Amino acid sequence: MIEIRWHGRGGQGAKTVSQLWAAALLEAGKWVQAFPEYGPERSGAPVQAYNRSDDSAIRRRAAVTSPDVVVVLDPSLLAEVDVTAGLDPGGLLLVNTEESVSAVRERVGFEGRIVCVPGDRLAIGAGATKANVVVAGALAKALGDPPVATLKEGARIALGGKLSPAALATTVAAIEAGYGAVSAGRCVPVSRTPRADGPTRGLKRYRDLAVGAVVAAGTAGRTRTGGWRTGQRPDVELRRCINCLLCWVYCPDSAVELSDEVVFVGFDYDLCKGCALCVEACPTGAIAMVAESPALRPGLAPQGK
Amino acid sequence: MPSLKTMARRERRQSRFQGGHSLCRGCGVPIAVRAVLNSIETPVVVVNATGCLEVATTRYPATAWNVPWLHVAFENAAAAASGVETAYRALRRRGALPVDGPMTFVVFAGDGGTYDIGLQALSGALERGHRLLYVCYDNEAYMNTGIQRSSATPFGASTSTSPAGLESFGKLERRKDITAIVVAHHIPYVAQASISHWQDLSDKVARATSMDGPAFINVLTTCQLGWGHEPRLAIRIARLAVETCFWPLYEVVHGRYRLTEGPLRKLPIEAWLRPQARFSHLFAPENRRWLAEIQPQVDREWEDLLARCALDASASDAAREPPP
Ligand code: SF4
Ligand code: SF4
Repeated sequence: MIEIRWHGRGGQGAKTVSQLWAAALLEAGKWVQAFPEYGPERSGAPVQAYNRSDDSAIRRRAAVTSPDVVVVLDPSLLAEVDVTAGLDPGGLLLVNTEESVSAVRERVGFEGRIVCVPGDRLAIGAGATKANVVVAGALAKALGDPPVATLKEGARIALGGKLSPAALATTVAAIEAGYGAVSAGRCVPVSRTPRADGPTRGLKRYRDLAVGAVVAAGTAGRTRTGGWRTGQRPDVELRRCINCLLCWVYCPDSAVELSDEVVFVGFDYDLCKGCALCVEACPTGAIAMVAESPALRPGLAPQGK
Repeated sequence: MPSLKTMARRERRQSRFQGGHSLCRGCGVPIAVRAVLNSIETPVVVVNATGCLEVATTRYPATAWNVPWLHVAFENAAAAASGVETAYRALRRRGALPVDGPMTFVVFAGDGGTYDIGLQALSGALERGHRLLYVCYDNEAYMNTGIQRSSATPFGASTSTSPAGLESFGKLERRKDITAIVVAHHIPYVAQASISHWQDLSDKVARATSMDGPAFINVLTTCQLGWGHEPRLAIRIARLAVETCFWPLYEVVHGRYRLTEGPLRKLPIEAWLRPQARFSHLFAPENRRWLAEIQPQVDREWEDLLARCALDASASDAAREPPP
């Protein structure tokens, strides 16, 4: 059995690409599963989707916690989510990034095989809006399976009903671009180490789970949502600020910081999602959105820890 | 009436609702929540119905809420809040509260949890007269589950269960008038507000919480995903709803209607429809006749409201007049 975990942000098509992947392998005669992590998958929020495939029926239904393959659709997640959690050292980490393999290896500290693909650039080149299918093409090549023709068939099955013929053709071109962009590899060894492969492998027992129902108040602030920004952050020219506090009242993410004397002092970039409502709200034009590099985005503490 | 400075000081002292939640970029809901909570002087207890707000603010094991907060189910937020409020009164009477003092019970529920699924529990709580503030954050559809139509979805809007397409048009039914339904329960305070008008909203919360009985505020709350607009336009679009009289700002105190903020000039309804993708099909040539139906609907409701306000104003003037 091969287990894949896709990491993306809401809106990047992690769920869609996992379905496409499953459709292709189903076409190739495998038993398959594809499902997203159910939760508030808001646009920009870190999300996960999973695939399992095998030559026989798959009994496991739980989330993939010890994957053979991890795919990361957004490089900013490397610093925000523990993407290699549970990843087998004999497995594969595939990242959509402009960075080099050694740079990614240094950031995540993963010893196994890493493949990088500049998915966003290739997607634009193919006329596509999302890198997800490019990355799927690269994954097929890196694993040696399924063949690119099967993957394209998977795209037709999974997306044909939703996309126009032109958009489907673009998707297929994007898959090919990804397939051509990485060097061929071989399939991850399925049974690389003998292990108790029952349905509960890697899962916690109920006694080990934290008690739910009542949680400590006011703990969301520790969750960094700064990584949701898409390349722009608000910047203030304090000289022009008249402290009307309109940016404060209209910020959905409590990211406008005030001093004890309730004077506006700046933004909390760990929380700010970059909606630009503060820019719209400011009557003096003191706030503007400025470009920022994704790699420099603050808000980089691991989530949910 | 609270000023922004007062509200900011309150949040500085105790931030009742924090950032770090998973509501969408540019979501209107937390704007409503912070404006409401920062307008209340006393300690608060929040009861939350199922919906975007509940799901996205309580990602286990973290919570954005820094106040006692309870979620039970989709349909029973008002019933759960009734129980909490009753328990508080009972304990207070027995002198069994660790700290005695006034407390405000606030329900937050979306339009799905208010107009549809939670209507029965809401009606019960209002009729029994529990002292609570029920805030409906109305973003006009079931956004949490993928933008399905609710009875708050306005005529013409495209949702995933009332799609606009070759064979279908968008929602063919008109929005339910929930405010009128709530008014019919003879509670002391009912109001309609918008996230775009923070002072109006904040004043309404202050008046609502001073009442000795149930209060209900319906707050128009944008949803960039379901409405289909740039996140940064949220406030501007909410303001257009008020300026076109699609969403008038008014209150009903002990049954008397009063406009709290009239638009300086009434804009044509197209100004509110046009920036939202959910209405874009209305502007196709073949749908013009549907579009033409909307302005008269809005005009009619607006004129009815004005007439109602005028009538109630003259009635209260008459009541104040000394007997001859
Ligand atoms: S960009 Fe949006 S989230 Fe960031 S500070 Fe401004 S209003 Fe808040
Ligand atoms: S809205 Fe502009 S002027 Fe007002 S407090 Fe914010 S930065 Fe200052």
